[in-house]
Amino acid sequence: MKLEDIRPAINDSVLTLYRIFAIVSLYAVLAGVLVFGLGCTFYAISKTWVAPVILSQDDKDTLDLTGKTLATQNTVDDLKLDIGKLENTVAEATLHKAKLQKLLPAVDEAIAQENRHKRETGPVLANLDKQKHADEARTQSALVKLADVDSNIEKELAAGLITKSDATQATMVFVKSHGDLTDSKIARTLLKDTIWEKTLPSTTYLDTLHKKAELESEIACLGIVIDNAQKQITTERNQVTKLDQALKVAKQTPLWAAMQDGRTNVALVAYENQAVAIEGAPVYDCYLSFVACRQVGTLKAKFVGEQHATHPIFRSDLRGFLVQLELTVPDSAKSKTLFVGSKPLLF
Amino acid sequence: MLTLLLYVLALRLSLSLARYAWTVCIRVWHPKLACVKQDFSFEPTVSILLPCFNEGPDVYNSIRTIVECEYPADKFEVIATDDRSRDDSWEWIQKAAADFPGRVIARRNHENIGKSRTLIGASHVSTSDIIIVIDSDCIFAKDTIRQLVSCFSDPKMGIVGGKVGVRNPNSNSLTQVQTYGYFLAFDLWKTYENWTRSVTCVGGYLLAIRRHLFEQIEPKILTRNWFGVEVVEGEDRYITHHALLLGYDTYVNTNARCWTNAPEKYPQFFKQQYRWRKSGIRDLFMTYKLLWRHVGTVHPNGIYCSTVAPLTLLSFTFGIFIAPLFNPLFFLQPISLAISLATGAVLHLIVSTHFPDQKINNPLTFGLFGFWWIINSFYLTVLCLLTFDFSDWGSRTKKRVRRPGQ
Repeated sequence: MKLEDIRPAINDSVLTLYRIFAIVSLYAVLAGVLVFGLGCTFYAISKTWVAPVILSQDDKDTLDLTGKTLATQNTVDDLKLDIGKLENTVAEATLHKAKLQKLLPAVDEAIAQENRHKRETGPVLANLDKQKHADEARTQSALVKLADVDSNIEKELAAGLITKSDATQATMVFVKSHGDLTDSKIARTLLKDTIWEKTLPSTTYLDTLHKKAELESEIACLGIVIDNAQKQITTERNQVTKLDQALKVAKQTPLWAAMQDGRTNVALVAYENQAVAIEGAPVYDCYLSFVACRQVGTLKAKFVGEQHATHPIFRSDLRGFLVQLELTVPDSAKSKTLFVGSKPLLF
Repeated sequence: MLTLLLYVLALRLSLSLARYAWTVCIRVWHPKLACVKQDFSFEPTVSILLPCFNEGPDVYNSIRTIVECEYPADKFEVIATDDRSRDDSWEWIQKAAADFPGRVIARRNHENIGKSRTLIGASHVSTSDIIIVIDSDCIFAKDTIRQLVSCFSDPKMGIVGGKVGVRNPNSNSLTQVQTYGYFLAFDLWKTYENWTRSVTCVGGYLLAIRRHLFEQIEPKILTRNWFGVEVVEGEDRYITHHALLLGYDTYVNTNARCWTNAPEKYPQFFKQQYRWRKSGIRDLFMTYKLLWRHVGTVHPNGIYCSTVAPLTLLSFTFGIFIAPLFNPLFFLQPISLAISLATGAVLHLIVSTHFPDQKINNPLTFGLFGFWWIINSFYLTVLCLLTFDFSDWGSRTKKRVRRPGQ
């Protein structure tokens, strides 16, 4: 059998297969174009669709938020602890400062009293010193006169004019007088010291002043410490307030809900469709994108904050906000779009 | 896979841009590169074959303008053949034969046999050295025949075509869009092919061919089929391609001018484009089938234009399939529209400056051209690929009836 003999049969078979393929393909292309066009038109007009998103604890964003939240909470706790410590420091320093401040007038009073005492006793001692000096002069002159007597005692003893006992007694008197004079000089020297202390600033006085200055410095330092601590307390309290606010905001986000509940069904509502985002509104899922729909839950809550996403159909940039969904059919969260409020085509 | 596809598309785009750049270089700086030597004293006998189907009074105008061409009257004849039109075309042909006695041979097929067979039938009546095939809705410049024939002084020249303009460029947005298309085809794309005398498709609206070459190709035309289904459209491209395969040069002389009425209604336009696109795809498949025969016979540029350039359509079609999956609004992106409008503005400027008869009143219609190109590439290509088993006269299937004298 030649190829030419069977060629018509081959041609017929190929043509038949080709025609079947062509008809199916053409209708498929037509249907595809039609569906694509209808879909694009529908989503360009529809104001009830939302784009579902499943959030879970394992999501990168959720994990990220978890880490950040914990870190923030730790920071808040640390700050509060630090504020407590600072408050204790302030209280302690304030108390100490108050005590020191009370001590300061007493020191001043003591110095004043001492000064008054010195002013009283100083001149008296100075007069006494003068008297003592006069007494010493008289004693000195008396002893000069006694020196002649002393030299005559030996002679008179040798001459037998006086007894040995008298001579010894006379010598003892002489010696004692010298000793008294010496004692008097010592006493006067000591008196001079006392007068000097009473009339001129002494090292003790200066020590007292130094201690007073230290006291005042310590009070000032305490004041600085208290002031700094109070400022730090104010700053840290502000930080705590801000972080608490941030945590409060974070707790209103869907990711927080996902952290707490494990899996959260949310949906992005484009701003154009925001009118349908009413808490308690029914949520519909459709078998064929927007045809053959059934209720699958309700809209539970609205979240604050703008979200950016890609349009599920047009792949363009989308701006809107998230809402939390209470789904009775969890798999509906996997649909490309859901509808809120009513069925898109009433069936 | 997607990356590979993107590389292929990028390569295609680069090649196309290089091609356009070179074409512009030729047009602006080296126009002689895209011209052949013409001998206007060369005056062989010429038969003008005018197949007609449902053209109505336009066929009379075509015959009139071709008869009025400046060429020795005893050296050319018009053979007008009606393929059993359903309108009054036959009456108009008869009127032309009566009005131009001895210059027009009026023929009518016994039954509707299609354009290809009508042409072949008419060629059997002819005895001239050169056969010129024209469309029955065109009008011609007075030097059209001489411009075409003068190129045949080179014995290697097998087929010479002319440039077609739009008679109704500003009838509506559709004709405006087509005017840009014709301009691009002849003043950009054909220039590149003229460069190496390897035009891959000389349009059947004005195609001059050596008689012996036509006779060589005739059996192939008659036996054209697709798995047993006769192929009747795209004979112009088929003839041109085989002329190249037989080692002849093909060329479009843009000084040989004619004008056609561009379709003003979308269904008509759609059918025309469908016919053209299908013949292009058939030709592409034939090229790959006979690829080795091209090597050594056809100029490498001709091979490139036959094998690689048409892939643009297919790759673009594939791209259109893919693009919406990633971005449904891809073709509505501002950048796409901006490029389209900017290209349109440049084209408008060139056309307005150099081709005042083709001036478009509303340059923004080029935006529509871009839109049509998308539809054309996407739907028409797919439709053509899936309807190879179907052929007809295309845009001329239905026509209003208007009797001579009305």
